[in-house]
Order: sequence, then structure tokens, then C-alpha cells
Amino acid sequence: MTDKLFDSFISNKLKNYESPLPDGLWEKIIAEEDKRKPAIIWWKTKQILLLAFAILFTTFSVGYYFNAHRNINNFRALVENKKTIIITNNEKIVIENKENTSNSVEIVNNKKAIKKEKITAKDITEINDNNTSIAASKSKNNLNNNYIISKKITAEKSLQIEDLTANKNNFFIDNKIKNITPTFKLNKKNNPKFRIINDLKSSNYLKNYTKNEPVESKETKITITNHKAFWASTIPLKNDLLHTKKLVNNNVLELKKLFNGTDDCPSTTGVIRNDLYIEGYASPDVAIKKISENTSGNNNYLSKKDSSETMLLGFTIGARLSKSLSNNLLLKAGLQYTQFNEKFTLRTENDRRQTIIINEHTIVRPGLPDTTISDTSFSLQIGYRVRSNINKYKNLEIPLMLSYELSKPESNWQLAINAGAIVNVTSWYEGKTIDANYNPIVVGSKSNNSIYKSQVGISLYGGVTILRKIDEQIAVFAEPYFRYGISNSLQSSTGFTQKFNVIGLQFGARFKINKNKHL
Amino acid sequence: MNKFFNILFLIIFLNFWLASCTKNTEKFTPYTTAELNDISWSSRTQMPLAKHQAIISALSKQDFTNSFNAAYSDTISINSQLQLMFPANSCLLNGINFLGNVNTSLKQLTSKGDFIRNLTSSCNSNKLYDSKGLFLLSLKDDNSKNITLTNGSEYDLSLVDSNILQGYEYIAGSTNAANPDSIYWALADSLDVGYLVYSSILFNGQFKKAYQIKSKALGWINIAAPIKSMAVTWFNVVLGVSNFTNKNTAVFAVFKDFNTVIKLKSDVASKTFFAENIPVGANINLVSISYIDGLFYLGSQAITVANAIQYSLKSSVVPVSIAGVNAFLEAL
Repeated sequence: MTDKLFDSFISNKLKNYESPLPDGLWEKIIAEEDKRKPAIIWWKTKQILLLAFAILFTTFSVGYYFNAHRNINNFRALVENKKTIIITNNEKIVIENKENTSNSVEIVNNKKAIKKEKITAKDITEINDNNTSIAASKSKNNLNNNYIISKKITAEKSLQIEDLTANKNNFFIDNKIKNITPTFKLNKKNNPKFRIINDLKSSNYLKNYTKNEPVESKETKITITNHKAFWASTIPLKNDLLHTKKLVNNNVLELKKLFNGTDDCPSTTGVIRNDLYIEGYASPDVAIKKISENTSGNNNYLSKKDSSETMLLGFTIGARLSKSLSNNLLLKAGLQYTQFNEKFTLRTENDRRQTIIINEHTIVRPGLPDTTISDTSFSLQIGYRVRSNINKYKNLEIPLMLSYELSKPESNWQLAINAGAIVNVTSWYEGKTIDANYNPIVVGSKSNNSIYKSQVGISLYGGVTILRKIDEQIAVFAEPYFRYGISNSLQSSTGFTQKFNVIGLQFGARFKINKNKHL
Repeated sequence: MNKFFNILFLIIFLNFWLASCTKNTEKFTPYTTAELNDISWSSRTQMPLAKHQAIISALSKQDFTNSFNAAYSDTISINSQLQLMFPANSCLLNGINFLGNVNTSLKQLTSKGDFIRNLTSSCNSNKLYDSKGLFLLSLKDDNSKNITLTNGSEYDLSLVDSNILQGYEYIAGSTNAANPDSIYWALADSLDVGYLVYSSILFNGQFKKAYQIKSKALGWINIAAPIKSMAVTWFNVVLGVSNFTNKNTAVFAVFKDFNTVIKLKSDVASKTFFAENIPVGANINLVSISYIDGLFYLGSQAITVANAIQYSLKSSVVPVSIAGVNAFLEAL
């Protein structure tokens, strides 16, 4: 008894006790995170930083522009391609006109008697004709209308509650239920935030909740009265658009069957390309060397050097990621290894070669037996020696480019134009050249001399891709290209700088990483 | 996914194969006309005459020159050791008595190195001599025409020496058209050619003892004493460099104990050099001198002659300058 009283006393005193945090703890944590920020050595050069920023800003600006307008293009594609949306059981099509003008869209029912419905400004219309197809036709006045066409799944009588893990993010409330108080049980492991969106923009339908208000992960109760529709998701929506990014179990639409000619399922809001590829490639290269003289009076040396060196076939091998920014535009970035091969040939006159030979000498003396002597002797030869050496310029590079596909993404044959830049991150070389006295000398990372010094260089890249699909995910391509060296990739202590222009033919394969990735 | 990697690997393999068919090479091509590359032996046992003359021209010391008037008897000093005396009216030019200015040119070979520079033996191998010096006198007029001596005229060649030794003789050397670069030595006929006397002469205002040759012939003069005969043998010498042949190389047996040099003969069949009648037990330096493409190569090996043996002489393949050759020869 006494024990219990004591226990109760302690419990009452300490039940809500929170131990205070040491002073300065949060500041230390912030400072520690600052310390851990890694130094990116490669990008310390100002010029490289500026250039990288310019390239990234340009590409992402273009990507943002196209991304912001994809809904318009998706609607246009939907309309122009005369796509149809088939409504099955328990589905409704909701069309929301976000423009201020009326008479913008005509909905035509193909199977039954033609039924045209006009969507007025700011209107949300539900089409609920089972087993019918509905085609959206373009408006007479303006194609650039901001519409959202989505599918709404409605449940029957029961409340649908889904396991809200990281990948499953949606569930739906039966909108026919009135005057009930559903309870949402969320997955506490992932602790997601639950958002209820009232697309009707009317607060009267959802008591205590307004649009876009997040709800913490806990047992939540809401009251739903006389609402028409709303969606709930755990993923913050983009641009306040009402997207159902992924449909829930048992209610997945067989959208792949609905649209002709496409391989992936478009979203309920339209066909917006969101493909991610990994590409592997290799190419034989023809490099053209450009030498600039730094020191005057160096002509004889450069002339002799030039006559001793001939560029051979080189190669490039690399991999890159390719991300679609729109239906036709892709951003590509990766890593590649380039090797330029050069033949160094030097003829040296009056060169001597010494070999060891065994001679036999038979000595004949009158009245005496013959004597044979075997002798090891040297044999000298004088002549000219031609030394051929393969010099190798090795580079690690980062290609950054945009690719514009001239044909449809679903076509089996595709043609694309590529343009961008290639940043030479690091170079190393091995081989031979001639020194100021025209004698052959070894150059390279393992030699003791410092005749060559590599520099970070940039090249402009342009190419045309011819791509052939093998199956749903794999395609092969050929890409003739030209790259123009802007900056010198090598500086010599004998008084010249050097850069390369390259003509090549890339052969590669592309693999689509994502599936069903449309917005 | 497998199909993707298969395609990719095939592309990469083809690319590497296409760009990698190159390797470092080094090729040596001998000159077809270079003398060094010719390792064949001449059927003629002697060195080609042009080569012989080229070596002598490159290495020989300058001849001593002077002049006298053929109309008068004259004694002329050649150098610090030599003096010539010509009687009056002793010169002929084209068979006619010559009384004008006569230019004398005297080649003097006194050391072993001098013998080798002139590619000559100091004696024949069948009879060895210890030589005080070899001398070759020529007379020319001012137009460089050869002058000969009148029949019976006798000139004096005096070699001053502070240590006069007995037993020295006048050994006359002769050549022939077939072998103009070989000298055959023989004791001079005292009546027809000349003889040696021991004399005291007035030399540069002082009386000095000298070996005096009284000669009626122009040509090679050798003041030498015979070496005591002993058991002799022969031996062959194999050179350690195939490029050194009888077309460009001379091999000598240089006696350490005597001022005697024997030039070895070449044996074309065995591609060796050989020497005959060499005393057994003699201390000898085998010396080879080669001249190829304007460069000299030397070889040397000290031996003690054994009975009928072969020696291998390892010559150097590193060229030696003329100054280096002379320094080597002076040290013999």
C-alpha cells in the first residue's frame, strides 16, 4: 500500500515532466551541419561555376516553361488527337474550366445520341454516363484553354480507407454519403500529413476544414455533408491542380487500353510525357588537333613536331540520364570517358644497332689438322630508326545537352537534334613527343618532366540522333556529332597550347527506367 | 534489361576494337651503302690501297723538309736528331744532271706508334730486328718532279744518339707495284746499296756520336739490330667485331721488350689475322686499328706468346678521335 502511494506520488510529479535542453544545443547542431558541407573541389574555379550555373539555369528554365504549360499542351494533345475517355462503372469525368470565358469546350458523346455540353467559365461539370466514350473537341475560339480533365472515382456506400504508405497516396471518400462522420486512420509509421482538398471551393461542404488545410497524422474526424466531390492525398499538389497521381488499389483504371497508340498510361488530367531514360553509348572519334603558338620564333619546332604527329581514331564511352521536359524536349547529362589517339613517328638518322653473333673460324695450316674456333662477336649496323609511338590523351568529361525530338514519342523511328556543352573535368596523357632539341622525350603522368600541363576545357556539342525502338523500354540509336573545342585542353612548356575538335558517330542503347510516369 | 546490356556491350566492344588496333613499333633499317654494314672480307690479303693511304694521311706526322743546291756539296739538318749530307753534282732529273734547288722530304718513324701510324712492320717476321728508326727520303725539284741520284753517288744520313749501341745495321726496305703498301726489309748490300758506320759528326756546332748510313739509294732505311733468335711459333687472332675485316683493319704485334712491330697478315678463309715466326714467350701487345666511315676503332690485348694458339682480340665498338688514337699509340 505504501509502495503504491509512493509510486503514485512520483508518477503524479513526473508524468508531464520534460527535461530542459542544454543551452546552445540547437546552435551546435546547425554549426555541425555547416561543417559537414563537403567542398566540391572540381568547381572552385569561378569560370566553371559561372558556366555551370548558366547551363543549368538555361536548361531548367526551359524545363519549367514547358512544365508550366504542359497542361495546356496536354489538353491540346488530347483534343487534337481525338482521344477519348471511356467511363466505366463508378467513374465520373470532371471537367473544370479554369478560364473566364464560356462556351469553351464541347463534350460529345460518341455512342449515344450526340450530347453536347458546354462548360461555362469557372464551371465544374461531371459527366457520368457509364460505358460511353466522350471526346473533347476544341473550342472555336481559343485552343489555349486551361482545363483540367480528370477522372473521379466514387465509391458506393462504404468509406474507403487506404494504407497510406509512401507510395500509396490516395484514397477517396464516397461522395454520396451524407451526414456522416468518417474517421481516417493513417499509417503512423510514415507519419504522413493528410490533406483534404475541396475542389468545389465551397467551405459549406466540409465542416471545420477549408481548402488545402493539412491534417496531422493521427485519428481524424471530419464531417461531410452534401458535398459533390473531393480528393484526398498525402502528396502536396502541384500548382493547385487537382491531380490524382496514382490510383488506389482495386480502382485502377485500365487507361492503357483507352488511348490508341500510346504505350504508357496517361493521367486522368491528360497526356503529359514524364520519361526517364538511361543511355549507354560509345563512339569512334576523329579528332582534329589545333595548336596555337605562344612563343614567337617557335615555327621550326612546331613544324617538326607537326610532321611527327598524326591523329588516329579515338573513342568515347559514356552513360547519361535523359529526362523529358515536355513531349519533345529532353535534358541529358552524364559522364563520359574520351580518348584521343595520336601516332608519334620519329626518324633518327645514323642510329646504330649492335647484335651478338656466333662465328666459326676454320684455320688451315699446312701439315697440321684443321682447327675450328667458335667465337662470340658483336656485329654493328648503322642505319635509320623509325620509332612509332601511340600517344593517348585521356579525358573525363561531363556532357550537358538538350535534345529535341522531331517525331512523336510513341513512334518506332525517331529523329532528334541535340545541342549542348561538354565540360572536360580532368585530363591525363601518356606518350612521346620531341623536346626543343628535336630529341624524343617521354611525356605523361609517370614521367619526371612537365612538358604538358592539362587544363579544364569546354567544348560545344551538336548532333543528330536516329533512334529505333526495340521494345517498350529499349531503343538503340546512332548519333553523328561534332564538338568544337572552345578552350585549350593542354598547355606545353615548349611554347604552344592545344585543343581538339571532334567528329564522331555515337552508337548506343537507351533504357526507359520509369513506367506509367505521366502527369 | 538483359537485352539492353547485351546491346550496350556489343557496341562498346566494337568501338574498342575499331579504335584500338594500334601499337608502339620501332623499326631499324640499315643503310645499304654504309661501309660499317659491310662485313665481308676481301680476297686480297692486304688492305685496299685507298683505305691504307687514308689511314696514313689521317694519322701520320708531317715529313721533315729542307733543301740544298745540287751543284754544291751540302750538309743539312733535318731535326734535332738527323742530318743529311749530299755531295755535289749527285742529282739527276729525268736522267740528266741536275744542278738546281733540290727539296728534301724525310719521313721518320722512330717509335712503335710511328710504325703503326704508317701501317708498316719494322722488320720482316722471319727475321726480327730491334729498330732505331725507319726513314724514307725523297728528293724533288721546285716543280715537284722526282730527282734521283747519279750512279755511284753516296749521301750520308746521320742519326745522333747519346747511347750508341753496337750491332746495328743498315736494313733497306723495298716495295713493289703489286704491294705498294708492304715493305720488304733486307740487309743492305754494302757495295750496291750502302752500309752503316759509327761516327762522330759535327752537329749544330758540336761533335756528337751518331749512327751514320752511307747510302747510294733513295728509299726506306732501317737502322736496326737483329734480335737473338729463339724458338718461334705462329698464332691466329680473331677480332671480336664482325665489322672489322681485312678491308678496314690492320692488326699488329707490338713487342714490349723491343722497338719492334710486326703487322699481321689476313687469312681470308678463316677470317682471322695471323703472325708467323714469333718467339715463344715474347711479351706482346696485340693492337688492332680500324678505319670505317671516317671513324677510328681501336683494340688492344696483352699476351705472352704460347705455342700455336688462337687469340681473341676484343676490339671496342666505340669510335675514337684522332687525338685519342695518337695518345694511345704514343703510350705503346
